[in-house]
Amino acid sequence: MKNNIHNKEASILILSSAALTTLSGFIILIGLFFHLTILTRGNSGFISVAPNTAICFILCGFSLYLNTKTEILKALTISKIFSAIVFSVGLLTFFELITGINFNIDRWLLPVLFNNEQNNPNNMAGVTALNFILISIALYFNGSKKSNNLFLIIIALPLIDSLIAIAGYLYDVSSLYSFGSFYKLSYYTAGVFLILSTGVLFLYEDTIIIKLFKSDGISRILIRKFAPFFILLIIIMRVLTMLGSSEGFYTPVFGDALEIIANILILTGFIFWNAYTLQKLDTELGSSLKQNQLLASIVESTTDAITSKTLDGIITSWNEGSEKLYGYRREEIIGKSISLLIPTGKMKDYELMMEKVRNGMCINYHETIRKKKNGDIVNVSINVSPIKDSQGRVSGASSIARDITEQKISRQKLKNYNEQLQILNRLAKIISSSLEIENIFDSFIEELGRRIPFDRTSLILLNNNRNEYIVDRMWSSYTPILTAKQRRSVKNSAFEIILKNGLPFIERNLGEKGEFNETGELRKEGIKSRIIFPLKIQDEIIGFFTQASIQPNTYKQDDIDLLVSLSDFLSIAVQNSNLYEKIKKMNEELEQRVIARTWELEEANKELEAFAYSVSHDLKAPLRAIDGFAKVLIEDYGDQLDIEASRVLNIIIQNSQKMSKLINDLLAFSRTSRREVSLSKLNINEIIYSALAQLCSYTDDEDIEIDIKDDIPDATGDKNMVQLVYVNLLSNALKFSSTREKQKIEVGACEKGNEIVYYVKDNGVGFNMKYYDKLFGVFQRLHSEDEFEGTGVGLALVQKIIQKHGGKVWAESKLNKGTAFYFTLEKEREYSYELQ
Amino acid sequence: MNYSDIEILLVEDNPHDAELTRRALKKGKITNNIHTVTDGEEALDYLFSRGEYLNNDAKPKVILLDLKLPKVNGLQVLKEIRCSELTRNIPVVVLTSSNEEKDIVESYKLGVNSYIVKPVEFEGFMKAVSEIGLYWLLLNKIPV
Repeated sequence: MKNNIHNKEASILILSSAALTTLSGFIILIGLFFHLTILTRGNSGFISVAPNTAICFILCGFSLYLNTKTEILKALTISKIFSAIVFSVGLLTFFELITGINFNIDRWLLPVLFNNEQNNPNNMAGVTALNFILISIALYFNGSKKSNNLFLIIIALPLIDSLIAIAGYLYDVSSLYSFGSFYKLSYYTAGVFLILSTGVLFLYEDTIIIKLFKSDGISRILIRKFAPFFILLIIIMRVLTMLGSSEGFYTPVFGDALEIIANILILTGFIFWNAYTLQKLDTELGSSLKQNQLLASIVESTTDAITSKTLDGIITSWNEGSEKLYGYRREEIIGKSISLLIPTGKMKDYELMMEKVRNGMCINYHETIRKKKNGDIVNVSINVSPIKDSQGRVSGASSIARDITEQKISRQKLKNYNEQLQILNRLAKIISSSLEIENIFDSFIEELGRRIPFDRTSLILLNNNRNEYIVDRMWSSYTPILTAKQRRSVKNSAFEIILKNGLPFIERNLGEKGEFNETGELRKEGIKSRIIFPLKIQDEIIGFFTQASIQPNTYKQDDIDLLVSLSDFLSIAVQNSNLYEKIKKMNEELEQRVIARTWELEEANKELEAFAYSVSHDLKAPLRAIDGFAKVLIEDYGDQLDIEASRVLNIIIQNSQKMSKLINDLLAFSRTSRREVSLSKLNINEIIYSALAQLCSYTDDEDIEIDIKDDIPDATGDKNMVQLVYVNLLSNALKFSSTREKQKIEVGACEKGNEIVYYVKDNGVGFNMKYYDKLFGVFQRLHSEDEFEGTGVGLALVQKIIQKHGGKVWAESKLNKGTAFYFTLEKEREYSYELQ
Repeated sequence: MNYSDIEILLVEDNPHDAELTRRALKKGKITNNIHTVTDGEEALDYLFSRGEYLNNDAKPKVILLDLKLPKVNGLQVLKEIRCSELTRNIPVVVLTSSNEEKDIVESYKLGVNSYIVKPVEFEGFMKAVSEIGLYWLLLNKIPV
């Protein structure tokens, strides 16, 4: 679309030219019709304008106008018809003049005008006819782009001859406007031709002159501003000189001199101005040149390959970086096709890229490959941007390519590293998920096979003396195979070397480190390369991990690094597994012992029961007999016995009864020891009152003050047993305070978290704390039978019961002041203690 | 020997206990109708007309049974008594020195009518036994 300001100016110029030409044609016709010579000649003595010339002007004007109106349908066709008519008229006239044959075309063109014989006007001059021929040709081809500069010559002729004619008129040199019969131009005709040919010239916008006219910068100023200005100025100067001399102010020669001086001054001024402008431009150009040089040196110095190419892929620029990257020198590649650099198979990728660029898009950091001069492939990251011309059209592409081979390698390294980490992570999981060495190794090998190819791998363990080894486990192509776990000597094997230096053993080619005991066997199996890693626990080698391949040189450094890390894991796994085995064994032993001990205990318990049963039954019967028959003696023969005999019999009876009580207490103690604690929530207050009720004989006594605290907390325990505790403690308290005038007993408790401390205090005789360790022993008594009766089982029973509840029991006493017994029970209990 | 008027079968291995028991029963006016056997087997022979007691069809009105007995123990005897149609309804009173909970529970499980722990002291023993005789022989009624 011709929508910029220059095109607008050009079309205004064309339109004015067309309008002026057409108008002039009409004015001449009107002058001819009304015989107004001023309109046809201007000045008497000048040649009058021919009517067909006027008509041709009108036609040319229209044709030129229509040429700019291409959007109107058929405008162009009509324009071409008009120009064809002008061409024909010009050609006929030209033919008339050359041959002398008169076709009188004037007459049949305008019969109305020329019906009067006297009014016979001049024929068209030869030069006019030629001008019309040329202009009509130019109009016919309508600014078509072909042979633009040829058309410039075609248009230049009418332009120049009209200018010469005008100059002739201005300087009064007739030979410039009238020379022979062929060359005759009226000033009218010459002026109109000048206007017309200028208009036509602007149709050819791709000619040098129009390009200059439309261009930017100094040339534009010169063409558009100064050229018209100077032409106008020269004309004005001339007109003024002529007017001055005709009015008689000075002689024509003086006038001419004046004009020349004025022209010299004007031109000199113009030259100076021009020089100044050029100098200014030069400075600007210099700095922009420097800028360009700087940019160029940047482009040159960068290691990136910066190139540009046309849309067809012809390389137009090539920096040093490109030379280095691709290997082509600048001279040999510029003008060649970019396809030299594109490997086969990447052509489609390139086409897609260029398609985007053609549409004005940029390609950023596109990773692809390019082919070097020597055929090597290089990894590059490419940025491609479109190059646009002054009209904003994409005319080519610039590309910046960077060698990313290094980057790719480091990226690959990073990827490998990541992969290693992942493997290690998975292995760590495997190791922590199982303690069975077989499971761990199978998972391990499966994991390993994904990363490092191997044909044979094995786990080898050393004996404690580290002079023998066994192949504990072996895998071939990732599946475990059975091995005879045969002991072999470390001596003269590769393992011996590792045991000495502690380093991985690598044979890239089997046998390269010498012949070992196992080498022959491996060779027979087709093994070509192998690696052995020591498995260490705290710097002590416990075994080896081997990898073998039927290919030589199988293992890369990356693989070896990974395997070193892996062998650390394996060491840990082996250690874990060993420890686990040990613990398992110990556990089994322990269990065995527990079972044995439990059985022994159960047996002992049974014996104890049997013993208690016997005691309860068999010891009682003789006692009963002693007691019974002593009484039978008293009953049946009482009257025959003297006093001493009766006393002795009574002693027998008393002792048998005491014996009976001892047996009963002992049985109770043994029973309680064997009984399981049946837990329930206990109301301790209630228990205390029931215990007191059992000891009812004491409670009636007025001299006894029993203070039972109100806020005694409840606990969890066996009701019967706890009651037995209170019965014993209370009966003790009552018993040992019975010598006091006023017996005082206090029963209470205090809470300590989940534990409750219960106490029973009395103001009795107390005991010496130095005998405290005897206090809770069975049959241990701290008072004589005469002082206080008792069997010495009660407190032992109390202790037994509290222990079975998981509590503690203790006492504090002061001789002759009183005693306090304490025991603890838990508020909440979930399980009972088994028989100890 | 005619056992038809035997009212009490005393199963007791200790002769002194047996004597004291008989004395106590005598004191309670129960005299001529006590038969004493000294082990479990003899007790069963007596009750089921076996061995020495082949011709004895008479059944006692009450059995006083000690638990710790030679040959067949008291609980076994009790079990067999309760298993047979012939003897099922005879009241059995366990009269023993054992105060073991286990024995008490087991005896009741087997259907004992009464469980008496023999008091060691003479007066208690006398009183208990004579009251047993009185209760089971005179007051208690069983199906004929």
